[in-house]
Amino acid sequence: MRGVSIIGVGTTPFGICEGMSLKELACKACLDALKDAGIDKREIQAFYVGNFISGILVGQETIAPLIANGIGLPKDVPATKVEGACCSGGIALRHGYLLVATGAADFVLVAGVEKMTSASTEKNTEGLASAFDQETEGRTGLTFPGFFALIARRHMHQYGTKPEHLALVSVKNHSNGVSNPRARFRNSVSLDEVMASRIIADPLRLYDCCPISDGAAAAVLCPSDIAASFHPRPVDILAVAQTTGYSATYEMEDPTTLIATVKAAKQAYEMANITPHDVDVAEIHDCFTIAEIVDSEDLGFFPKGRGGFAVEEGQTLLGGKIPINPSGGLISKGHPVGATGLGQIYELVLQLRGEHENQVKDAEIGLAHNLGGTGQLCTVTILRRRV
Amino acid sequence: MGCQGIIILHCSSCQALHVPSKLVCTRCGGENLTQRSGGTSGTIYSFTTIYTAPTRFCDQVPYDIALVELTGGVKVTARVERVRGESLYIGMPVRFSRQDEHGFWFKPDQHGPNSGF
Repeated sequence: MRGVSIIGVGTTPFGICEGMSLKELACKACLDALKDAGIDKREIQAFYVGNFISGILVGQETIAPLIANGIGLPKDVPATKVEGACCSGGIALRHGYLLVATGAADFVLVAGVEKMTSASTEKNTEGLASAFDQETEGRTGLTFPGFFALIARRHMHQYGTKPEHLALVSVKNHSNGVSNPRARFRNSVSLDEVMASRIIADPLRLYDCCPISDGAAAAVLCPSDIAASFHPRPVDILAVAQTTGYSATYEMEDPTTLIATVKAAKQAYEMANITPHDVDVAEIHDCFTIAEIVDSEDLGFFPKGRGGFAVEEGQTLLGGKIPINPSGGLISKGHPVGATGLGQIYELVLQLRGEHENQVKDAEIGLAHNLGGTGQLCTVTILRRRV
Repeated sequence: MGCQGIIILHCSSCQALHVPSKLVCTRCGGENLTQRSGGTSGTIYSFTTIYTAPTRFCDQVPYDIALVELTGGVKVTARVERVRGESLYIGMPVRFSRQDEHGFWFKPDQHGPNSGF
């Protein structure tokens, strides 16, 4: 396997992109990434796009060739959609990485996209809930806020995590989003505002939940040994791991741990030959406030049960022990589900180029954690700048 | 359906219990799974009340969903109907009441758990 690097990234803002179709969002992110890489689109040898529910929300399927044609990729380029619920973007990156690492291709374009805000909240809730096992949990009316509420209640019971700990994740991520021009929410919120917001799935409130959003993000990959001839600050991919967890809550022995994250993190740290303590900045899957707490434990940043207390102690703030979601995360930046995995990569590439609006000083190693469904799928990606 | 309880699959190789449908034991890979009936009582392992629902459940909000740990250890995801507006809590005894298009339904069990499984 040869080294793989990111030589270009592109994105749309995340949020309500009125008047922009799914195709237009994806094409804009892809064209931005090609331009950033300074590469001619005729050099691209493969294209992967991550997407979850375009069929349900906007009635558009077969989106990979649609986007490939939209940006004028040559007709001999394979264009493939990958789907893994909210982890679709991370999976697209991994497939592109494998093609370059194995030598099957030199230049690969990867993207993620979702168009959500043109459909109602109820329609989105139904579309997202299609990731449940319909035969057992889907038919009960369980929702994703409900799934994470079951985890939150149990986490509180087992470890003494408080509703205030959850709320502080939202306060932090909204605060980070204020200076991110790509974020859906650019306003800060107070602890009291979070704690007083309406209940979505008890004990989770509105501000514990990420907002449905439109958006797309993309990256161009190539072999590490030629990366510097395309971009002065290429970012090397040290690891991309993908794993499978449980498809139903009732099968989990202890739902306060998501096994797919634990296993993906272990694989990724081994591939990259680092420990959690070596990570300078992390973009992790905070679809709900409790998810960021659980993820931060499963990724090895904190012992199990201590994630909420670490937030209270300020350890995950910009300037803390491990800055988590300086972009604002899914909670403030928004969660266009198929795009999120590559949106995290976009933010980390800016961090490792030293160009982020919420720059982590001297950041050298970044980690992205992308989760799908009931923790059924997970990717953990580790990136490093050259020193 | 109804009073005979929830059908559970038992693996004759490793004794694991599973919620149907399964063709193999996901713990040991064994293919000899036999049906057991029972599973009428348990306790609440975790719970939530859903206020924002998918389209086809909107007319039911708010509704309660719990992870119920059946006597014997296997968990199921189920709807809970409060009989007298009781507050739900982790460890609360519940009893299987029926099964319909929404899956399993449980009610608070004022007599406490017994060896129904």
